[in-house]
Amino acid sequence: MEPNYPLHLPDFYVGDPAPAYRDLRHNSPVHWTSANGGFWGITRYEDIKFIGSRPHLFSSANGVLMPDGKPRTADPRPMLITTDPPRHKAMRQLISKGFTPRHINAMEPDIRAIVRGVLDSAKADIELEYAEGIVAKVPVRIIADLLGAPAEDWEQFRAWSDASVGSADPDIKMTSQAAFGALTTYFQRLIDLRKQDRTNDLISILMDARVDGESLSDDELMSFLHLLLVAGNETTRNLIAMGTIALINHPEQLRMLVDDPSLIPTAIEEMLRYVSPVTHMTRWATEDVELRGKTIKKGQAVVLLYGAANRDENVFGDTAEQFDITRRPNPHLAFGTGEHACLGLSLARLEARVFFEEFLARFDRVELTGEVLRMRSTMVPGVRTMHVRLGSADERATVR
Amino acid sequence: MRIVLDRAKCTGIGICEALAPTVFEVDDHGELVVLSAEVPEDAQNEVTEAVEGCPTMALRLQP
Repeated sequence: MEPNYPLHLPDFYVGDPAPAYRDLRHNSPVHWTSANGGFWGITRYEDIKFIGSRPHLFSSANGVLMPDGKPRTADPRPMLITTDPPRHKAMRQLISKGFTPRHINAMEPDIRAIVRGVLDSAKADIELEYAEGIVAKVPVRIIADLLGAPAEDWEQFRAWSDASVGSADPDIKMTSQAAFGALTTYFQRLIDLRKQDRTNDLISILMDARVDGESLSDDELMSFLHLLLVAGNETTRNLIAMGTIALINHPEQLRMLVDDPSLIPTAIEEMLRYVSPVTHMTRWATEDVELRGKTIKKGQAVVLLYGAANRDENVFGDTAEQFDITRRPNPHLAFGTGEHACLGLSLARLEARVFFEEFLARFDRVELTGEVLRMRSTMVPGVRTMHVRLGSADERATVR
Repeated sequence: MRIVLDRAKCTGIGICEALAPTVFEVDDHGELVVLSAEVPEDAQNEVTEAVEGCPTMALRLQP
Protein backbone atom coordinates (compact mmCIF):
# COMPACT_ATOMS: atom_id res chain seq x y z
CA MET A 1 0.00 0.00 0.00
CA GLU A 2 1.17 3.52 -0.74
CA PRO A 3 1.99 5.79 2.18
CA ASN A 4 -0.58 8.39 3.13
CA TYR A 5 0.46 11.79 4.48
CA PRO A 6 -1.56 15.03 4.84
CA LEU A 7 0.63 17.03 2.44
CA HIS A 8 -2.15 19.63 2.14
CA LEU A 9 -2.18 20.59 5.85
CA PRO A 10 0.00 23.17 7.68
CA ASP A 11 0.41 20.76 10.61
CA PHE A 12 2.38 18.39 8.39
CA TYR A 13 5.02 21.09 7.77
CA VAL A 14 4.99 22.56 11.28
CA GLY A 15 5.79 19.11 12.68
CA ASP A 16 8.89 17.27 11.55
CA PRO A 17 8.21 16.21 7.95
CA ALA A 18 11.65 14.57 7.50
CA PRO A 19 10.57 10.94 8.23
CA ALA A 20 7.60 11.27 5.85
CA TYR A 21 9.84 12.84 3.20
CA ARG A 22 12.27 9.92 3.50
CA ASP A 23 9.45 7.38 3.13
CA LEU A 24 8.07 9.22 0.09
CA ARG A 25 11.49 9.56 -1.60
CA HIS A 26 12.02 5.82 -1.24
CA ASN A 27 8.55 4.39 -1.74
CA SER A 28 6.43 6.89 -3.65
CA PRO A 29 8.57 9.66 -5.15
CA VAL A 30 5.77 10.83 -7.45
CA HIS A 31 2.98 10.69 -4.92
CA TRP A 32 -0.72 11.36 -5.51
CA THR A 33 -2.67 13.12 -2.76
CA SER A 34 -6.41 13.29 -3.36
CA ALA A 35 -7.09 16.20 -0.96
CA ASN A 36 -7.94 19.65 -2.35
CA GLY A 37 -8.84 18.35 -5.79
CA GLY A 38 -5.67 16.28 -5.96
CA PHE A 39 -1.99 16.96 -6.64
CA TRP A 40 1.31 15.16 -7.09
CA GLY A 41 3.97 15.52 -4.37
CA ILE A 42 7.52 15.35 -5.77
CA THR A 43 10.28 14.51 -3.28
CA ARG A 44 13.43 13.43 -5.15
CA TYR A 45 16.14 15.97 -5.96
CA GLU A 46 16.59 14.78 -9.52
CA ASP A 47 12.85 14.96 -10.29
CA ILE A 48 12.51 18.50 -8.93
CA LYS A 49 15.46 19.57 -11.10
CA PHE A 50 13.79 17.88 -14.10
CA ILE A 51 10.46 19.68 -13.57
CA GLY A 52 11.98 23.05 -12.65
CA SER A 53 14.04 23.16 -15.83
CA ARG A 54 11.03 22.50 -18.11
CA PRO A 55 8.73 25.51 -17.75
CA HIS A 56 7.04 24.73 -21.10
CA LEU A 57 5.94 21.35 -19.76
CA PHE A 58 5.31 22.51 -16.18
CA SER A 59 3.74 25.97 -16.10
CA SER A 60 3.52 28.45 -13.22
CA ALA A 61 0.60 30.41 -14.66
CA ASN A 62 -2.08 28.91 -12.38
CA GLY A 63 -0.19 29.90 -9.26
CA VAL A 64 2.66 28.52 -7.17
CA LEU A 65 0.81 27.77 -3.93
CA MET A 66 -0.35 24.16 -3.59
CA PRO A 67 -3.98 23.51 -4.62
CA ASP A 68 -6.48 24.58 -1.96
CA GLY A 69 -9.53 22.94 -3.54
CA LYS A 70 -10.74 26.09 -5.27
CA PRO A 71 -10.65 26.17 -9.08
CA ARG A 72 -7.51 27.79 -10.50
CA THR A 73 -7.21 29.79 -13.68
CA ALA A 74 -4.35 31.86 -15.01
CA ASP A 75 -4.14 35.31 -13.40
CA PRO A 76 -5.02 37.93 -16.03
CA ARG A 77 -2.37 40.19 -14.45
CA PRO A 78 0.36 37.72 -13.56
CA MET A 79 3.17 38.39 -11.13
CA LEU A 80 6.70 37.56 -12.19
CA ILE A 81 6.48 34.32 -10.22
CA THR A 82 3.38 33.19 -12.18
CA THR A 83 4.64 34.29 -15.62
CA ASP A 84 5.71 31.62 -18.14
CA PRO A 85 8.30 31.89 -20.92
CA PRO A 86 9.00 33.82 -23.07
CA ARG A 87 7.75 36.89 -21.18
CA HIS A 88 9.12 35.61 -17.89
CA LYS A 89 12.73 35.73 -18.97
CA ALA A 90 12.44 39.27 -20.36
CA MET A 91 10.79 40.59 -17.19
CA ARG A 92 13.08 38.62 -14.97
CA GLN A 93 16.23 39.87 -16.63
CA LEU A 94 15.39 43.53 -16.20
CA ILE A 95 14.35 43.10 -12.60
CA SER A 96 17.39 40.94 -11.81
CA LYS A 97 19.58 43.97 -12.54
CA GLY A 98 18.60 45.23 -9.13
CA PHE A 99 19.53 41.88 -7.51
CA THR A 100 22.92 40.95 -8.94
CA PRO A 101 25.66 40.11 -6.43
CA ARG A 102 27.41 43.40 -7.14
CA HIS A 103 24.29 45.48 -6.66
CA ILE A 104 23.33 43.59 -3.50
CA ASN A 105 26.83 43.60 -1.99
CA ALA A 106 26.84 47.39 -2.27
CA MET A 107 23.98 47.32 0.27
CA GLU A 108 26.09 45.64 2.95
CA PRO A 109 26.80 48.80 4.99
CA ASP A 110 23.07 49.70 5.03
CA ILE A 111 22.15 46.16 6.01
CA ARG A 112 24.75 46.07 8.77
CA ALA A 113 23.44 49.36 10.17
CA ILE A 114 19.88 47.99 10.16
CA VAL A 115 20.96 44.74 11.86
CA ARG A 116 22.94 46.65 14.50
CA GLY A 117 20.02 48.95 15.14
CA VAL A 118 17.76 45.97 15.75
CA LEU A 119 20.29 44.07 17.91
CA ASP A 120 20.89 47.15 20.08
CA SER A 121 17.51 46.45 21.68
CA ALA A 122 18.49 42.86 22.63
CA LYS A 123 19.86 42.44 26.14
CA ALA A 124 21.71 39.48 27.64
CA ASP A 125 20.57 37.39 30.64
CA ILE A 126 16.88 38.22 30.45
CA GLU A 127 14.09 36.31 28.74
CA LEU A 128 13.16 37.96 25.45
CA GLU A 129 11.08 37.17 22.41
CA TYR A 130 13.37 36.55 19.46
CA ALA A 131 11.34 35.80 16.28
CA GLU A 132 8.87 38.67 16.30
CA GLY A 133 10.87 41.02 18.51
CA ILE A 134 14.26 40.79 16.79
CA VAL A 135 14.51 38.65 13.65
CA ALA A 136 11.33 39.85 11.94
CA LYS A 137 12.41 43.49 12.04
CA VAL A 138 15.45 42.90 9.86
CA PRO A 139 14.07 41.74 6.46
CA VAL A 140 11.10 44.10 6.47
CA ARG A 141 13.32 47.12 7.18
CA ILE A 142 15.71 46.06 4.44
CA ILE A 143 12.90 45.72 1.90
CA ALA A 144 11.42 49.04 2.97
CA ASP A 145 14.87 50.61 2.58
CA LEU A 146 15.36 48.93 -0.81
CA LEU A 147 12.06 50.41 -1.97
CA GLY A 148 13.02 53.85 -0.73
CA ALA A 149 10.42 54.02 2.05
CA PRO A 150 11.51 56.47 4.75
CA ALA A 151 12.56 55.01 8.12
CA GLU A 152 9.63 56.55 10.00
CA ASP A 153 7.25 54.38 7.91
CA TRP A 154 8.99 51.06 8.63
CA GLU A 155 6.90 49.91 11.59
CA GLN A 156 3.62 50.72 9.86
CA PHE A 157 4.91 49.01 6.76
CA ARG A 158 5.73 45.94 8.80
CA ALA A 159 2.27 45.75 10.40
CA TRP A 160 0.66 45.80 6.95
CA SER A 161 3.04 43.28 5.49
CA ASP A 162 2.56 40.84 8.39
CA ALA A 163 -1.21 41.15 8.12
CA SER A 164 -1.20 40.78 4.34
CA VAL A 165 0.36 37.30 4.52
CA GLY A 166 -0.99 36.25 7.93
CA SER A 167 -4.56 35.58 6.89
CA ALA A 168 -4.30 31.93 7.94
CA ASP A 169 -3.16 32.96 11.40
CA PRO A 170 -6.13 33.70 13.68
CA ASP A 171 -4.11 35.91 16.05
CA ILE A 172 -3.44 38.58 13.45
CA LYS A 173 -6.36 40.99 13.60
CA MET A 174 -6.31 43.07 10.40
CA THR A 175 -7.74 41.18 7.44
CA SER A 176 -5.28 40.35 4.69
CA GLN A 177 -7.46 42.19 2.15
CA ALA A 178 -7.42 45.36 4.26
CA ALA A 179 -3.64 45.12 4.68
CA PHE A 180 -3.17 44.46 0.96
CA GLY A 181 -5.24 47.56 0.21
CA ALA A 182 -3.22 49.71 2.62
CA LEU A 183 0.02 48.51 1.05
CA THR A 184 -1.29 49.19 -2.46
CA THR A 185 -2.13 52.76 -1.47
CA TYR A 186 1.29 53.16 0.10
CA PHE A 187 3.13 51.72 -2.92
CA GLN A 188 1.13 53.97 -5.24
CA ARG A 189 2.33 56.96 -3.21
CA LEU A 190 5.95 55.84 -3.62
CA ILE A 191 5.42 55.32 -7.36
CA ASP A 192 3.85 58.78 -7.73
CA LEU A 193 6.78 60.36 -5.89
CA ARG A 194 9.23 58.63 -8.26
CA LYS A 195 7.26 59.85 -11.28
CA GLN A 196 8.25 63.36 -10.28
CA ASP A 197 11.70 62.52 -9.08
CA ARG A 198 13.72 59.38 -9.83
CA THR A 199 16.29 58.18 -7.28
CA ASN A 200 18.56 55.13 -7.36
CA ASP A 201 16.11 52.89 -5.49
CA LEU A 202 14.49 49.76 -6.85
CA ILE A 203 11.21 51.43 -7.81
CA SER A 204 13.14 53.90 -9.98
CA ILE A 205 15.10 51.07 -11.65
CA LEU A 206 11.85 49.25 -12.40
CA MET A 207 10.15 52.39 -13.75
CA ASP A 208 13.00 52.97 -16.19
CA ALA A 209 13.02 49.33 -17.32
CA ARG A 210 11.65 48.23 -20.69
CA VAL A 211 10.27 44.81 -21.72
CA ASP A 212 10.00 44.46 -25.52
CA GLY A 213 10.36 48.23 -25.75
CA GLU A 214 7.51 48.88 -23.31
CA SER A 215 7.81 50.03 -19.74
CA LEU A 216 6.06 48.10 -16.98
CA SER A 217 2.49 49.22 -16.35
CA ASP A 218 1.53 50.57 -12.91
CA ASP A 219 -0.27 47.24 -12.35
CA GLU A 220 2.83 45.22 -13.17
CA LEU A 221 4.95 47.45 -11.00
CA MET A 222 2.45 47.12 -8.16
CA SER A 223 2.27 43.33 -8.39
CA PHE A 224 6.05 43.18 -8.37
CA LEU A 225 6.26 45.30 -5.21
CA HIS A 226 3.73 43.05 -3.47
CA LEU A 227 5.68 40.00 -4.60
CA LEU A 228 8.94 41.44 -3.30
CA LEU A 229 7.42 42.02 0.11
CA VAL A 230 5.88 38.56 0.37
CA ALA A 231 8.92 36.80 -1.06
CA GLY A 232 11.56 38.63 0.92
CA ASN A 233 10.02 38.93 4.34
CA GLU A 234 8.63 35.75 5.91
CA THR A 235 11.19 33.64 4.07
CA THR A 236 14.28 35.35 5.49
CA ARG A 237 12.71 35.55 8.92
CA ASN A 238 12.06 31.81 8.78
CA LEU A 239 15.62 31.08 7.66
CA ILE A 240 17.17 33.09 10.51
CA ALA A 241 14.76 31.94 13.24
CA MET A 242 14.77 28.25 12.28
CA GLY A 243 18.51 28.45 11.61
CA THR A 244 18.99 29.73 15.17
CA ILE A 245 16.91 26.81 16.48
CA ALA A 246 19.13 24.40 14.51
CA LEU A 247 22.16 25.95 16.23
CA ILE A 248 20.49 25.70 19.65
CA ASN A 249 19.80 22.01 18.97
CA HIS A 250 23.42 21.44 17.91
CA PRO A 251 25.43 23.24 20.64
CA GLU A 252 28.76 21.87 19.41
CA GLN A 253 28.15 23.53 16.03
CA LEU A 254 27.10 26.80 17.63
CA ARG A 255 30.38 26.74 19.58
CA MET A 256 32.33 26.04 16.39
CA LEU A 257 30.65 28.99 14.66
CA VAL A 258 31.29 31.38 17.56
CA ASP A 259 34.96 30.36 17.60
CA ASP A 260 35.34 30.65 13.82
CA PRO A 261 32.99 33.19 12.21
CA SER A 262 34.56 32.51 8.80
CA LEU A 263 32.30 29.42 8.77
CA ILE A 264 29.17 31.61 8.70
CA PRO A 265 28.67 31.48 4.89
CA THR A 266 28.76 27.65 4.75
CA ALA A 267 26.65 27.52 7.93
CA ILE A 268 24.01 29.61 6.16
CA GLU A 269 23.99 27.27 3.16
CA GLU A 270 23.43 24.41 5.59
CA MET A 271 20.61 26.28 7.34
CA LEU A 272 19.04 26.84 3.91
CA ARG A 273 19.29 23.12 3.14
CA TYR A 274 18.29 21.82 6.57
CA VAL A 275 15.46 24.29 7.21
CA SER A 276 14.26 24.78 3.60
CA PRO A 277 12.33 27.92 4.61
CA VAL A 278 9.98 27.71 1.60
CA THR A 279 8.46 24.22 1.65
CA HIS A 280 7.30 24.08 -1.96
CA MET A 281 6.38 25.68 -5.25
CA THR A 282 3.69 24.29 -7.55
CA ARG A 283 3.73 23.69 -11.31
CA TRP A 284 0.91 22.68 -13.68
CA ALA A 285 1.44 20.06 -16.42
CA THR A 286 0.75 21.44 -19.89
CA GLU A 287 0.49 17.91 -21.34
CA ASP A 288 0.51 14.32 -20.08
CA VAL A 289 3.95 13.46 -18.67
CA GLU A 290 5.27 10.05 -17.55
CA LEU A 291 7.45 10.21 -14.43
CA ARG A 292 8.66 7.18 -12.44
CA GLY A 293 5.89 5.01 -13.79
CA LYS A 294 3.11 7.49 -12.99
CA THR A 295 1.20 9.58 -15.51
CA ILE A 296 0.90 13.23 -14.61
CA LYS A 297 -2.15 14.34 -16.60
CA LYS A 298 -2.41 17.60 -18.47
CA GLY A 299 -3.72 20.28 -16.08
CA GLN A 300 -2.71 18.45 -12.89
CA ALA A 301 -0.62 20.14 -10.21
CA VAL A 302 2.83 18.98 -9.14
CA VAL A 303 4.05 20.22 -5.76
CA LEU A 304 7.84 20.42 -5.56
CA LEU A 305 8.78 19.61 -1.96
CA TYR A 306 12.18 21.28 -1.64
CA GLY A 307 12.72 20.16 1.96
CA ALA A 308 12.47 16.52 0.82
CA ALA A 309 14.91 17.02 -2.07
CA ASN A 310 17.32 18.75 0.29
CA ARG A 311 17.60 15.55 2.36
CA ASP A 312 18.01 13.27 -0.67
CA GLU A 313 20.68 10.64 0.11
CA ASN A 314 21.52 10.35 -3.59
CA VAL A 315 22.88 13.90 -3.50
CA PHE A 316 23.86 14.56 0.12
CA GLY A 317 25.02 11.04 1.02
CA ASP A 318 24.85 9.27 4.36
CA THR A 319 24.82 12.54 6.28
CA ALA A 320 21.82 13.94 4.37
CA GLU A 321 19.66 14.07 7.52
CA GLN A 322 22.35 15.65 9.69
CA PHE A 323 23.00 19.33 10.31
CA ASP A 324 26.63 20.09 9.43
CA ILE A 325 27.71 23.72 9.16
CA THR A 326 30.90 22.73 7.31
CA ARG A 327 29.12 20.85 4.50
CA ARG A 328 30.64 21.45 1.07
CA PRO A 329 29.61 21.20 -1.67
CA ASN A 330 26.01 21.95 -0.75
CA PRO A 331 23.90 22.15 -3.91
CA HIS A 332 20.58 22.51 -2.06
CA LEU A 333 17.36 23.58 -3.75
CA ALA A 334 16.18 25.94 -1.00
CA PHE A 335 15.95 28.75 -3.57
CA GLY A 336 14.22 26.52 -6.12
CA THR A 337 15.64 25.65 -9.51
CA GLY A 338 15.10 26.67 -13.12
CA GLU A 339 14.29 30.10 -14.45
CA HIS A 340 12.01 30.87 -11.50
CA ALA A 341 14.81 30.28 -8.95
CA CYS A 342 14.65 32.89 -6.19
CA LEU A 343 15.57 36.32 -7.51
CA GLY A 344 16.46 37.55 -4.04
CA LEU A 345 18.92 34.82 -3.14
CA SER A 346 21.96 37.10 -2.98
CA LEU A 347 20.04 39.45 -0.71
CA ALA A 348 18.83 36.61 1.52
CA ARG A 349 22.36 35.23 1.88
CA LEU A 350 23.77 38.66 2.69
CA GLU A 351 21.05 39.42 5.25
CA ALA A 352 21.58 36.09 6.99
CA ARG A 353 25.37 36.41 6.95
CA VAL A 354 25.38 39.93 8.38
CA PHE A 355 22.76 38.97 10.94
CA PHE A 356 24.75 36.01 12.28
CA GLU A 357 28.05 37.92 12.16
CA GLU A 358 26.61 40.70 14.30
CA PHE A 359 24.51 38.43 16.51
CA LEU A 360 27.27 35.95 17.36
CA ALA A 361 29.79 38.73 18.00
CA ARG A 362 27.47 40.02 20.73
CA PHE A 363 25.92 36.81 22.03
CA ASP A 364 27.76 33.52 22.08
CA ARG A 365 25.12 31.55 23.98
CA VAL A 366 21.44 31.12 23.13
CA GLU A 367 18.93 28.99 25.00
CA LEU A 368 15.22 28.46 24.53
CA THR A 369 13.20 29.37 27.62
CA GLY A 370 9.79 28.26 26.39
CA GLU A 371 7.85 26.74 23.56
CA VAL A 372 8.40 27.66 19.93
CA LEU A 373 5.14 28.84 18.36
CA ARG A 374 4.99 28.26 14.61
CA MET A 375 3.12 29.95 11.75
CA ARG A 376 0.37 27.69 10.43
CA SER A 377 1.30 27.80 6.77
CA THR A 378 1.89 25.13 4.13
CA MET A 379 4.39 27.30 2.25
CA VAL A 380 6.43 29.24 4.82
CA PRO A 381 5.77 27.59 8.20
CA GLY A 382 8.03 29.97 10.08
CA VAL A 383 8.40 30.86 13.73
CA ARG A 384 5.76 33.17 15.17
CA THR A 385 7.32 33.51 18.61
CA MET A 386 10.21 31.93 20.50
CA HIS A 387 11.49 33.08 23.88
CA VAL A 388 15.20 32.88 24.47
CA ARG A 389 17.89 33.91 26.91
CA LEU A 390 21.11 35.20 25.40
CA GLY A 391 24.59 35.10 26.89
CA SER A 392 26.86 38.06 26.23
CA ALA A 393 30.07 37.32 24.35
CA ASP A 394 31.82 40.21 26.16
CA GLU A 395 31.00 38.78 29.57
CA ARG A 396 32.45 35.41 28.64
CA ALA A 397 35.61 37.10 27.44
CA THR A 398 35.88 38.93 30.77
CA VAL A 399 35.38 35.73 32.79
CA ARG A 400 38.17 34.11 30.82
CA MET B 1 38.57 23.32 -19.86
CA ARG B 2 36.53 26.04 -21.57
CA ILE B 3 33.43 27.68 -20.12
CA VAL B 4 30.46 27.68 -22.49
CA LEU B 5 27.55 30.04 -21.79
CA ASP B 6 24.09 29.57 -23.31
CA ARG B 7 22.64 33.10 -23.36
CA ALA B 8 19.18 31.82 -24.23
CA LYS B 9 19.04 30.14 -20.83
CA CYS B 10 20.85 32.70 -18.67
CA THR B 11 18.63 34.99 -16.56
CA GLY B 12 21.52 37.01 -15.16
CA ILE B 13 20.86 36.26 -11.50
CA GLY B 14 24.57 35.91 -10.78
CA ILE B 15 24.78 32.73 -8.71
CA CYS B 16 27.94 31.95 -10.69
CA GLU B 17 29.34 35.36 -9.79
CA ALA B 18 28.70 34.72 -6.10
CA LEU B 19 30.53 31.38 -6.32
CA ALA B 20 33.37 32.36 -8.68
CA PRO B 21 33.68 36.16 -8.76
CA THR B 22 37.01 36.13 -10.61
CA VAL B 23 35.43 34.36 -13.58
CA PHE B 24 31.83 35.59 -13.81
CA GLU B 25 30.31 39.06 -13.59
CA VAL B 26 26.80 40.30 -14.29
CA ASP B 27 27.12 43.78 -15.79
CA ASP B 28 24.89 46.83 -15.40
CA HIS B 29 22.62 45.66 -18.23
CA GLY B 30 21.97 42.34 -16.47
CA GLU B 31 24.13 40.43 -18.98
CA LEU B 32 26.56 37.80 -17.76
CA VAL B 33 30.18 38.45 -18.75
CA VAL B 34 32.54 35.47 -18.65
CA LEU B 35 35.84 37.10 -17.66
CA SER B 36 37.98 34.12 -18.56
CA ALA B 37 36.95 31.66 -21.28
CA GLU B 38 39.43 29.11 -19.97
CA VAL B 39 38.96 27.87 -16.41
CA PRO B 40 41.82 29.38 -14.37
CA GLU B 41 44.04 26.84 -12.57
CA ASP B 42 43.34 28.37 -9.17
CA ALA B 43 39.53 28.60 -9.59
CA GLN B 44 38.62 25.10 -10.78
CA ASN B 45 36.52 24.14 -7.76
CA GLU B 46 34.62 27.42 -7.73
CA VAL B 47 33.89 27.25 -11.45
CA THR B 48 32.69 23.64 -11.17
CA GLU B 49 30.37 24.69 -8.33
CA ALA B 50 29.15 27.64 -10.40
CA VAL B 51 28.43 25.43 -13.43
CA GLU B 52 26.61 22.86 -11.31
CA GLY B 53 24.85 25.53 -9.28
CA CYS B 54 23.35 27.41 -12.23
CA PRO B 55 19.57 27.03 -11.78
CA THR B 56 18.91 27.37 -15.51
CA MET B 57 21.77 25.11 -16.62
CA ALA B 58 23.13 27.93 -18.77
CA LEU B 59 26.78 27.02 -18.13
CA ARG B 60 28.79 23.98 -19.11
CA LEU B 61 32.43 22.97 -19.32
CA GLN B 62 33.99 21.75 -22.56
CA PRO B 63 37.32 19.92 -22.66
